[in-house]
Amino acid sequence: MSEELIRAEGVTKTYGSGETATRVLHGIDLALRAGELTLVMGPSGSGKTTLLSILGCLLKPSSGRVVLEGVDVGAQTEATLPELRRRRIGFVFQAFNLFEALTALENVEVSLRLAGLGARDARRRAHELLARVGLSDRAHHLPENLSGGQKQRVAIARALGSPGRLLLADEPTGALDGKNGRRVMELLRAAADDGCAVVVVTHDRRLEGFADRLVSLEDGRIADDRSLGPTPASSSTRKVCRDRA
Amino acid sequence: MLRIAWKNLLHDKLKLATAVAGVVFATVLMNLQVGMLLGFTDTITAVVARSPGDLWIMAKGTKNFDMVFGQPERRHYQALATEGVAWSSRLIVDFTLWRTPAGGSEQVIVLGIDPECPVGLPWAMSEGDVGEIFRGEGVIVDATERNRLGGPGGLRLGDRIEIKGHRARVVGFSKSVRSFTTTPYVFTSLRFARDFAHGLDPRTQVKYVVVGVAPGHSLTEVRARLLERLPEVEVLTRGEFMRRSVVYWLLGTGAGIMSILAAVLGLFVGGAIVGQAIYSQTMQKYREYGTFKALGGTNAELAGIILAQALFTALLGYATGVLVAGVVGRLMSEGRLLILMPPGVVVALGGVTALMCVAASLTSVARVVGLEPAIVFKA
Repeated sequence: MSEELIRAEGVTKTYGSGETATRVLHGIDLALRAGELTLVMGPSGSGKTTLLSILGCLLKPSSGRVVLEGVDVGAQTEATLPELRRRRIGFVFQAFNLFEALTALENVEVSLRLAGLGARDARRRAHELLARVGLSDRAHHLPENLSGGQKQRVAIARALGSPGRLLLADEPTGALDGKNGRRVMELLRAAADDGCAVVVVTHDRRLEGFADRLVSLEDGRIADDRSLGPTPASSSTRKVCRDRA
Repeated sequence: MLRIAWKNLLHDKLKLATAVAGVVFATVLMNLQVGMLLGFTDTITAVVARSPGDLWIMAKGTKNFDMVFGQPERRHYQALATEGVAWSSRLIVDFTLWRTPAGGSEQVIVLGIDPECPVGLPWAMSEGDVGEIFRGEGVIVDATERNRLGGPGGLRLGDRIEIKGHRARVVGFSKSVRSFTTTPYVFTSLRFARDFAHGLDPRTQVKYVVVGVAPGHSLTEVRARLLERLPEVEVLTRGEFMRRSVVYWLLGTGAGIMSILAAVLGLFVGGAIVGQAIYSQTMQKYREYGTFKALGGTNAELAGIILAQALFTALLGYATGVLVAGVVGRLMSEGRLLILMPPGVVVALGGVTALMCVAASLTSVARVVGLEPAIVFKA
């Protein structure tokens, strides 16, 4: 059994209070392991994004507990949470969320600098990461001059710049065509193969081929949690994150 | 993080231009208004500040240098006879009419200067010799008044003019010697000024008696002796008289308050423009700031980015604004209005501008500090 990176125990989340209170998550128990790519699926409003926000330490659960690499997230303060995120978690977003004024290289450098690297090391490492995602020739392009697929690969390079081993992706292929979506999933698969715990929230059943595990949410509860068996896409892209661990 | 701030600014050049224009507006207005205020102060005190003399004896109730009642000339001699007085000088300051060669008339302020111990001479000459006023009916006016006081083609050295029915000759032009009221100063001899001084008994009255304190004597003691001997007058030190004149013109007339208000207005209007531009830019980048937080950026780092943007804007706008104000100030100073922009004041106003920009960005800082990083997952 591979190492457990993050564990959610009895996590609930309620928005609002009193009569307007809406419970979005109901006692979620979930453990994610290194080397595992987990798909989180479910209909709209099932709590996928809320769960991802809680696992990413962006949102505090109303009750329950989240432990990230042995650290009780609930015990962290507003001052220490950013440190936890910059050291232990990488994010990939559906809308890419790149810094529009920064080049691809500088976007990747941001997470590296936040992780504590000096300017020169960050630049060197950013070049390496862009090379890993096949974008060396686009290093000095602004996001507005990149295609959707290229933007998402920059975002993955930025996420891989985080020293953490938890990588959370929210609909990473949602804004991409089939070919680019596949390429992005290959990169995420490679990150898992290199020891990351990768969580992908998606509606797209075609991504199951890249995943080890499928967690289905319905009405804020885990309706199904099953292993998907061997992953046919993993063999060709295992080297992408070799240097990260 | 500074790079993010700088690149964010440059990325939207229209917003940057708007914000910089706001700072330029505030900078030009502040520097010109404060420069005008300093120019006013300098002009109001110019003659007193640049003349010799430790104590000024004047009629009671005198409020400023330009407007003063007369006093008997004997006070000059009484002052001279006072222990501790090294020298005494008489000075006439009076409004009168100048008839231009073209036949028009202009109001002027005549300074009649004592040839024995001159006080009130122009301190900078553009043309001619200052000593010429003591020969015949010679007068000196400022070079900036050539056109105003002359006929077509302007006043020239040697021109014959008329002051209140008395013929006079232009013997020189001073350089940048202005009165606060913009009424031109006309420098001439005490004797000639007496011929047309308004409301003076030509034989017995002067306007000021200025004395120098002899070495080894205390100013306070000499003043006390003068007041004992001349109880019907006021005796002010040079500094006191300058302050009194400044207070009268700047506070009494509202000219100074208006300048200060205009400078403050410039600060607020500029601040509002900068604040609006930075806030709009912050809102445009709101999701990016959320992403930055999600990646582990702290509130302090985010606030630093916003504040750095404000300071970059301040720097760009202030540098441009000072250049513009410098050029405008120089052009204006060639006329009747003196604009002074000493380096210390320019630096201090730069600090004020930086504070304005920081204050203007605080709303934006508050927004990003309160930003929930989970917004990054919202569509």
